Amino acid sequence: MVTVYREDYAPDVEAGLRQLHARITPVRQLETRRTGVYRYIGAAAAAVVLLVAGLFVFGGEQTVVLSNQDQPLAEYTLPDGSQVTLQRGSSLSYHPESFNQHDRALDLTGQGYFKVSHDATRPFLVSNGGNEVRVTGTAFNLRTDSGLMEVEVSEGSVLVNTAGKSVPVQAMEYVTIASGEEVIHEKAPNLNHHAWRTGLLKFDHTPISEVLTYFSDNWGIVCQWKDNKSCDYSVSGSFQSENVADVLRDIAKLGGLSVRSTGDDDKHFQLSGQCNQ
Amino acid sequence: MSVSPSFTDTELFDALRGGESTALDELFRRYYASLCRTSIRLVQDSAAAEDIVQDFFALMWTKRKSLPADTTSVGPYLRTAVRNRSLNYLRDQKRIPVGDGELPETAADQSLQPGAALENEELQQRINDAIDRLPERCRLVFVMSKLEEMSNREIAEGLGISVKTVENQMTRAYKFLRHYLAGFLTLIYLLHG
Repeated sequence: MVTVYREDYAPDVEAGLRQLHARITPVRQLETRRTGVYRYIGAAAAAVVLLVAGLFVFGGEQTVVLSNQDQPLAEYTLPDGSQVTLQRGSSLSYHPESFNQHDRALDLTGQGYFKVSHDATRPFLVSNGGNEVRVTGTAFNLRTDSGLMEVEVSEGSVLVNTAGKSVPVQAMEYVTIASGEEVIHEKAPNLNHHAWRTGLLKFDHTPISEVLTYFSDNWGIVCQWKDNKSCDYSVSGSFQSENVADVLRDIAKLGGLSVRSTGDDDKHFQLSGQCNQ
Repeated sequence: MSVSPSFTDTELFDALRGGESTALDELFRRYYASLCRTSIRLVQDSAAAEDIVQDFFALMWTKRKSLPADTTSVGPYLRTAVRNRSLNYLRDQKRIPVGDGELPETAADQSLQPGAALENEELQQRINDAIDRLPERCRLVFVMSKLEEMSNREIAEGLGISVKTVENQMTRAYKFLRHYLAGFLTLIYLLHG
């Protein structure tokens, strides 16, 4: 009977295995990750391709670069078990020797959504070179551009470190830091900065000018008003489509506007029409 | 080459020696929980136990070429290694007891009713509590003897004490547990059976 002593202790085997992989050399990580993560899933908004793209190991101080050049969305599992989704054109890098030792430090270029495995002893740090997001376990969207960092938190909370001060950001909040400008810290009940990944935009009496910034922030879509004559109307409702341009057209239609593509990259549009609202 | 769940432990061990990384994963899945239990019985700390076991698997990978060949007893090999590493951990932490320690005053678990039927979970908790109440040297000797099935000589060497001390500690442990768990009428039989 005494042989049941501590038989009730049941460690998480898969979490342990991920931690083991993080301890073993990066060469080993590359082997398993290539074989393990390749698969397709059907997602609600779009078929999301899960892949491991562009793993590069440089000589000297080793850096693993996760880079998504050609897929709409690329999903990766980091050595600590955290999940990251990268937008096309974005990349994330880390040093495999030190990652998950004392902390989990990463550099992001572009936009990513992070679902961070909880580990209070090893903070998860994402930097864009100047500013840094510090979390222990949460989910958030992060967009970086030269000198810009924009964080929108969907679960838990994060700490944004900038210029010697820390800004706590809670779930359903949004913070933007641009060099030389004041920090913007607002409520984000609709998580519209996650739309590049979820395909979902929600508005509640939102001015069209602000609506258009979400197209720019999420997809780099730039809209110009014909003859610089802008309309001012507010948008309410939920919009979801696999095709972002369709969503833009629907929203324009609400204001009695027409939309014309002004390039061949599906990124530039012109809005025109009578403002009938 | 890749491994399949139908591989025997010995085949996995051979594949691991040959550099097959999926063999390491499969062995890890098979043995991680039970090895962590072996370790936590000694070190009494879940984070340390998992660390010790993961560290050992990482070492097996880096030193895979020097693993024993044609081992038919993979389980005992892993268990012995984890047990030794757990004892080393206690030694590094200066947690190998130097004295016998005092048994707690409590003569019996008062909440136990003779013959009362206990749910498995509660039974488990009471066994954990009872053994945890033993003075540390006594507890380690008891765990190593009854759960890890080590000989008195191995225990004496592991803890740096005499075989006579091991025997004395076992007598103390039996006596305490017999009193503490007096409600279980069958205990004495099971302890000796």
